[in-house]
Amino acid sequence: MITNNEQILLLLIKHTPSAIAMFDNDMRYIAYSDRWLRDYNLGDQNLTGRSHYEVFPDIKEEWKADHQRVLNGEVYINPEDHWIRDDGTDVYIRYELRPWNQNDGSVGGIIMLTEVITEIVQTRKNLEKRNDELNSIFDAFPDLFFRLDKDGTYLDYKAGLKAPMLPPDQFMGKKIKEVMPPPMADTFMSLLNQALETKTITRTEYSIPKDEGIEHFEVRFLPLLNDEVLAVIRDVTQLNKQKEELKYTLEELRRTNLDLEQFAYIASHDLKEPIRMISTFSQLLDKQYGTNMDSTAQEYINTIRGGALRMQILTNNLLDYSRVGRLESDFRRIDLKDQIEQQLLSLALLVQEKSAQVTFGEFPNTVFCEPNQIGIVAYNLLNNALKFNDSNPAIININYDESPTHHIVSIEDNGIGIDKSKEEKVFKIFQRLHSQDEYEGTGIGLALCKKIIDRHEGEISFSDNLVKGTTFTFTIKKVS
Amino acid sequence: MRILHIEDNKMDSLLIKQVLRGLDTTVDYDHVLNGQEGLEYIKAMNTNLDLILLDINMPLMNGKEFLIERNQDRDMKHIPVVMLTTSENPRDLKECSELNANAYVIKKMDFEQYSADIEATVTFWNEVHKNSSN
Repeated sequence: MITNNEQILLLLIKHTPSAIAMFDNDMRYIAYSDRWLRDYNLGDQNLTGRSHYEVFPDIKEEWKADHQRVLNGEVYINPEDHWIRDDGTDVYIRYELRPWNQNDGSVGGIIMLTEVITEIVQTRKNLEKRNDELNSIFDAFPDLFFRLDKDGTYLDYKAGLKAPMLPPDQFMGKKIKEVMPPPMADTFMSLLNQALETKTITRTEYSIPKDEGIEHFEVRFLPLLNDEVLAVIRDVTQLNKQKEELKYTLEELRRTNLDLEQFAYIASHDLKEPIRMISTFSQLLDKQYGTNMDSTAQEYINTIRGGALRMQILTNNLLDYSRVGRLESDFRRIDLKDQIEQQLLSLALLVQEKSAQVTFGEFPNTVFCEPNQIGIVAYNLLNNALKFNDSNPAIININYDESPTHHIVSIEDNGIGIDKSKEEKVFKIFQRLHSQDEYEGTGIGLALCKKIIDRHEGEISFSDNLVKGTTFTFTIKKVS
Repeated sequence: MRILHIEDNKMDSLLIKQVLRGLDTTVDYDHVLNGQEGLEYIKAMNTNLDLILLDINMPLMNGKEFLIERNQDRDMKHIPVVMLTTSENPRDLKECSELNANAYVIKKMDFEQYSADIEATVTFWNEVHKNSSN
């Protein structure tokens, strides 16, 4: 019977689905489970009769002491122990060491019930590490965090740089309704519920009068698991102040701009009359008294007329410029190529003078824009391409391209080109790159173009051609 | 032919006189400095006016305000009004046309052109005047 019992016991141990081993008083294997071999990577070797310390030569000394204690009758349980094997691998095990008694009541050896929990422990350690990282990120926020349950009870908190009202620890265990004034509490509770129901973040802003002035806070409710909510409270006083300041500055800028346009309009308009007087009366002087004047007097009169004429052109251009911002919008679908060709017609004299050859690429049927305004842009660019051109013949290529959002028109010339260092100046009003003797102009044309293209939500720019000349490109925003 | 020139710039009046002197027709020319004076002039007058030359920007009553007054007055609305202005603003042109101005002449910088425009304008309304009187 006994022999039979032993065989049943050995069979039972062999097939137990955990790592189990039975030792005699000298820590020699009596029985062990298949799982024991597997968990400790022992292959299919036969352990029976061999010493535990021979099978595991790298066993910890303290464990050997533990074994001795158990052989003396103690039970030893360790829920988690760390074992660094000689090959450097980390092993975590949970084990129970129990003595087994012989028939006479004396200890016959040890039974080890072990479980390798390396994976579990490592997963836990990774989680702890992630958690620490998250916490340090969390701590880096200047915001105040509250965790609340669905009834609005404060569960815990992380203090921020600034507390809106009382120190946050005084809220713990209380409900929103108990610590907030009623209208605010109602708002908060409804946002809290909304966050939970819709699984979205809800937010609001509120102000609290303090000695230093009114402070503004933003609160956001983030739904958590278990019907809990995270309330994130951020001090937005400074942000709001900056927003207000920015808004104010923008308004002021807009007003100043309007004032400036208004000024330019009035100035140029009111200047016209006196300029005309200078021009006309110097002409009358010449006509009626010219025969009585010597050549110096004649020259003076011509200088006066020349100055008046130039002032007239300036004021007219300035008027055009100031009008762009004041115009009612007049967007229409037009044939863009046709519009550009019309401008060439009004430049016919200059085209002839420069023996200019003008070519067009493929253009779309219609483009949505302000025809007169785009006409002014084309006129100015073509005028520049011809005027600042000493090649014979002057060659101008006008091409169309498009991006998903914009129409792109380019006007390429073989003229004198623009010094790259002047790039900044080109589109500014009254900036001229040449003396009046070299090339006539008022320095308004390209500034006007830029203003018009701004109205078309496009861009205007230029680039040097490889061989000679400049290519100006302007874009017009497409409408769907 | 009788012309009233409503214009705040006295030098413009000098110019017009200069132009009118060179014409074949005799013209009775009077000049007032703003719309208000223009209205008073017309009301006090017992003969007919054949043409009004009207500036836009003037103190007290500007050209457009004058047009509104003229349109509401039975005795005045038949008098032809030609705008004579430096303004090339399309809005001014449109508004004056809507206020029943009969023509819109822009004062040219060049005296020869200016002179030619005035001459053409006065000659045209003189013809109209002669035909309607016959």
